[in-house]
Amino acid sequence: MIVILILLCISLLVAICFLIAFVWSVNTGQFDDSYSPSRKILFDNPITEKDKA
Amino acid sequence: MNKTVNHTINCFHCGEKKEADLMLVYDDKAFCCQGCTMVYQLLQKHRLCAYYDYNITPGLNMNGISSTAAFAALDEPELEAPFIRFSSQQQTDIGFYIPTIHCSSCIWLLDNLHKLNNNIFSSTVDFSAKQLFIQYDHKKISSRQIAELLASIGYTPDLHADNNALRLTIRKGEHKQIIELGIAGFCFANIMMLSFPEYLGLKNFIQGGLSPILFRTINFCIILPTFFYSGSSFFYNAWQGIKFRKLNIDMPIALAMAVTFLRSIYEIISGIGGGYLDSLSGIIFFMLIGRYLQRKISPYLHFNRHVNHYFPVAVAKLNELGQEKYTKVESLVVGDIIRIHSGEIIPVDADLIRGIGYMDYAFVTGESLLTEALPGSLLYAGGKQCKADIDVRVLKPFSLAGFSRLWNTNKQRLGLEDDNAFINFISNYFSLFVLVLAATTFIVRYYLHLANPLGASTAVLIVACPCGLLLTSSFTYGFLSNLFAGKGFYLRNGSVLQQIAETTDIVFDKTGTLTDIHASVVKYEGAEMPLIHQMVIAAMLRSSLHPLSKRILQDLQVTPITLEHVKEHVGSGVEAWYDDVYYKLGSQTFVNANSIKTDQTAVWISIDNVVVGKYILEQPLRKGIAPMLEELPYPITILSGDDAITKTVLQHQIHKKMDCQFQQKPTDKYTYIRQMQRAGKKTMMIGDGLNDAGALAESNTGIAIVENTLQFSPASDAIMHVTALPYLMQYLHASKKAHQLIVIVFVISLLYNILGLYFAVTAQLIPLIAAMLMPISTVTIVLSTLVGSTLIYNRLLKKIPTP
Repeated sequence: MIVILILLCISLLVAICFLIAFVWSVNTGQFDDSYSPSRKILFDNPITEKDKA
Repeated sequence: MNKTVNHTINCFHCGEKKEADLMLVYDDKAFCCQGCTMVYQLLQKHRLCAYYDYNITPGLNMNGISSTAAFAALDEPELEAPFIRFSSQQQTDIGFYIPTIHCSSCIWLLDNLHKLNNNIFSSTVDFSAKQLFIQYDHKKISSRQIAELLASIGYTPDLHADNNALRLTIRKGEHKQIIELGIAGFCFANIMMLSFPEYLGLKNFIQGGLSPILFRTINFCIILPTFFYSGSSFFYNAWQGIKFRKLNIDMPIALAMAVTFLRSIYEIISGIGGGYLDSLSGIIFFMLIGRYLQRKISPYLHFNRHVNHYFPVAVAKLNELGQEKYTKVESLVVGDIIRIHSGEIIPVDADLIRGIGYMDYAFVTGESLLTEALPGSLLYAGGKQCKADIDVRVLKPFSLAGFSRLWNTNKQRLGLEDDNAFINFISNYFSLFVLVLAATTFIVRYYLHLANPLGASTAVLIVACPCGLLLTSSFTYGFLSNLFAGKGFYLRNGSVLQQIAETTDIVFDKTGTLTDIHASVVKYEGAEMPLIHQMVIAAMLRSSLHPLSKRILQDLQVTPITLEHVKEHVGSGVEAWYDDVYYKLGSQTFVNANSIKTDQTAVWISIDNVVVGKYILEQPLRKGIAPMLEELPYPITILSGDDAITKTVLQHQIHKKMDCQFQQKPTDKYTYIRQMQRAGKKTMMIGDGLNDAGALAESNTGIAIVENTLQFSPASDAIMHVTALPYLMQYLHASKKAHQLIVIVFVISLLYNILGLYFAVTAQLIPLIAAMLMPISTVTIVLSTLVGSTLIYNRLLKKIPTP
């Protein structure tokens, strides 16, 4: 049963890491603009006549 | 210019519909105006035409874009400073708020600004806040030039510095809300998991060498951030309620949370059990989701705009040498001479000293015609100069302008997000009942010597918290207001729906709300005239400078004749001789038509001193308005700043009995609404301009009508796109249905409460039951509000066109 104790510690540790990552990402503005990054990845640069055809 | 077949086509740049032969053609593409063509040429020159590949007609209409003279203000370090984010030897980082950012093409173009001007290093768009951040070489290009560059491609920056600050505050609030939610979610999930040993019975674990204290201590540590950080907003709101002696739903919720928390601590310390920490963290998490949903609608839409945003930040003040120097409007003093460029708004009451004023007061007074002003006349703050530059002398400082007083009579629309009379009413009775029940349980159990009286009574408080009601209302309002927003009706917050449902009387503003300021129709009334007379009159109209003449001339289908003997009497009319006939055109007095009784403002015509007819300018109602007004089952009032001229016109188009009040000054409108409110009526005021600001604020529900969401609108509870106005009936109906839905779902959630109370009163509420009831009731509530809202949407709102 002592194995539960170890698993418990690991799971809490992982969860806390994720929580810290989440708080950090919110505070650095990574959730601020959900629209433009999703569009920017689709921009080819530059679009040529050949691409269009 | 090529002539094509006469049908309407869309401008390649901005998508404006126009008849094909009015279009300019460049590079085999049709453009609606010179401005749009120029943008295209500029983008083509810099190989940025991919702009047009990502979206169809992504551009902004360049017709009527005001002059860029105002950007000279950025040359003043004092006015530039709020925009600079960072500056070093090599580069400066500047942030502009650009309200016109609207699609992925905008993002693409603005990200590629460095291709338009190589002194710009890079630029980044924040789409949701509509901000653009630019890094540039300040030795080679000034912020003014950047602003002008942006304006030249249609992305005019907003120079109101407090907008930037406001955005920052909103953003911080959003961050806090998301983090609260994240922490609550983290704690909820972990506590639930750690509570499993308790649910399954601790025997096996204890035999395995684990102490229950371990799980309970960890749970206790995890609940602390949820309770004290994520749940703090409930306590704050409850405290506000106590401070202002106003009951709100957060008070019983905060009480239930506190009782649950304390009892759980007691149970853990005394070793009785694990407490109700799982239910507590769960309910905090779900309530925060509800609040988030309700607030998320459109955080950057302004419902409480400051009147200053309507005015320019700075104006060109003339010094002794007659040179322009930009100064903040707040620092103008009486006697200063300022230059108003064409298209600019006069920020203060002033005397006209040079040039002719063509003032558009539509937004301020509701008057739909341009007012002509000669040197020496008084110009009022808020008017927009439509042609040419003028110089004016300041008569009153900015803060004393007449309208701002009216604006400031606005009752403060502060208060909580869920400040909803209906919800608060129910929650009060609900909490009273719960408190009485808890006390009775305690007393009865105490005197009957039943087990655990305190435990049973606190269990009542725990299980019967009105969070079901809060969840019901916040999810219903959240779902529906998001659906409303999709159809061009933006609510300040979800509880505005409740205000709409309560409406008993509807009051409309006329100019700009029911009618379109820019779509007027010229009508001729009188004896038929031979063509030659009409041609002479057209020529007289052409020679006149009066805005009304220009407007009438636009609609006349005759070619003006060449006139030699024509004279304009400014402010009254035009007289002319042609072929020994004496023509007069102008006001009623000017043509000696005073004997005819009328209440209309019109341009009168007399030929050889005989009055033959008159031109009347009519404003047709917007499309779909007349049927909407007729089917509304509410008493309707129309308040208009215009003359009674429009009364007859309105009555022609609407056959319903309505109360029409004309020549209403802004204060009259305000007083009118106030009287209605005092008489116990719940008025809905629908208006669009500064002149309605007082009335909008005073009414039960104030709705501002806009043609696009970028437009400046007075402070209001809701902002409605013009295309949604004809469907007002459906929105009113949907709001009432939403109210019913909340009542139904609340009753369902009460069933769970009653079940829980049964366990509580009989002292059987073990944590496992509480932990099961909470998620089951939450899921039931969320699902039924979702289904209900979708039904309402499908039945009433689906047909409404999306703006």
